[in-house]
Amino acid sequence: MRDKEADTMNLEMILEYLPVLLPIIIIEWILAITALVHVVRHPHYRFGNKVVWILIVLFIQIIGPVVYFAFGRGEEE
Amino acid sequence: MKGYTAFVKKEWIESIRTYRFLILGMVFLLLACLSPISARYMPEIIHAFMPSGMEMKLADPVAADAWLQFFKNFSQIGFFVTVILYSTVMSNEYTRGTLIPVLAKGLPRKYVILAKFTCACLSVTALYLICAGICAAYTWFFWGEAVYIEGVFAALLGMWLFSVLLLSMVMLGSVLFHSSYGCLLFTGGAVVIQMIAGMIPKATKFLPVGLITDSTEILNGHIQTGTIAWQMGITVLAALLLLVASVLVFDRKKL
Repeated sequence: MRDKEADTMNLEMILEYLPVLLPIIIIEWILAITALVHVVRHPHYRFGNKVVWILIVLFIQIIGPVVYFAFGRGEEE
Repeated sequence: MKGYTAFVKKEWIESIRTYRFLILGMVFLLLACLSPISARYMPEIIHAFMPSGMEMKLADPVAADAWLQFFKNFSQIGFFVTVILYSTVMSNEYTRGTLIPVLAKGLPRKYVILAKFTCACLSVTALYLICAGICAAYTWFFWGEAVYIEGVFAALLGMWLFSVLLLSMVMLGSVLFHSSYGCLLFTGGAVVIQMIAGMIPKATKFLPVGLITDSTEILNGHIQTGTIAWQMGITVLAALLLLVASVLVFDRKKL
């Protein structure tokens, strides 16, 4: 019973704070999607393979794309 | 001089094409948004995740907390990402041999270093200013008029100077070592040594790292103006010396 209450409270909290959190969410997604596009279009990596990098880029927020662009990206042809 | 401006332009295009500017910008913007928000909602977040029955008294957050978070986040994550992104600034050129044709055409070697440093500095400075503005805007949005804090400009200036120093360390590190890891180790080592030296009470006054580790005190105005002035002066001097050193080392470097 109390869990349910807590859940609805959390949802309300999220809705209330959405305008404040929106810029952060947008930035996270811009990073993730640019990195994803790069991973898919440049299939040469310094280490790891495509699947690993897609997972890293999509599921490790912020750090994932940064690590990909700093270390994972292969040389341009 | 024409070679210099051309090389700055080349650097700028490179930082766009390699996504360096984009990543740096996004991380900086994120930190700028996140700092005031996390300061504002921290008590509620802690409250929401506390097991029921446990009560904790937390002071209401004030505008200074937003700036504290800002300085903490930037001095840790922000500068870490900056150094990582710029550590490849020379090593990429070494491994691909792209500097050789330019230098063979007669571009003075010092321009390479200076142009790279200029471009890095301008990017970081512009982003940093935007971020300070965003943090100020959020702080104003959350706390209204009580946004002005006495030490905020000193703290902002101090951290900016430190970022310039970091970039000059990166430049020296990347001309001393061939790989980007050498550059990372050099810069990290230089900061860690300063932090260790900071344990000696008399030395703190002369260590640039104090500008970021003591930002809380600077913000509250608890630190003497003389100390900050010393630290800032030494930071500027050190940055200049490092830059001159990297130009000299690069002059003798085999490519």
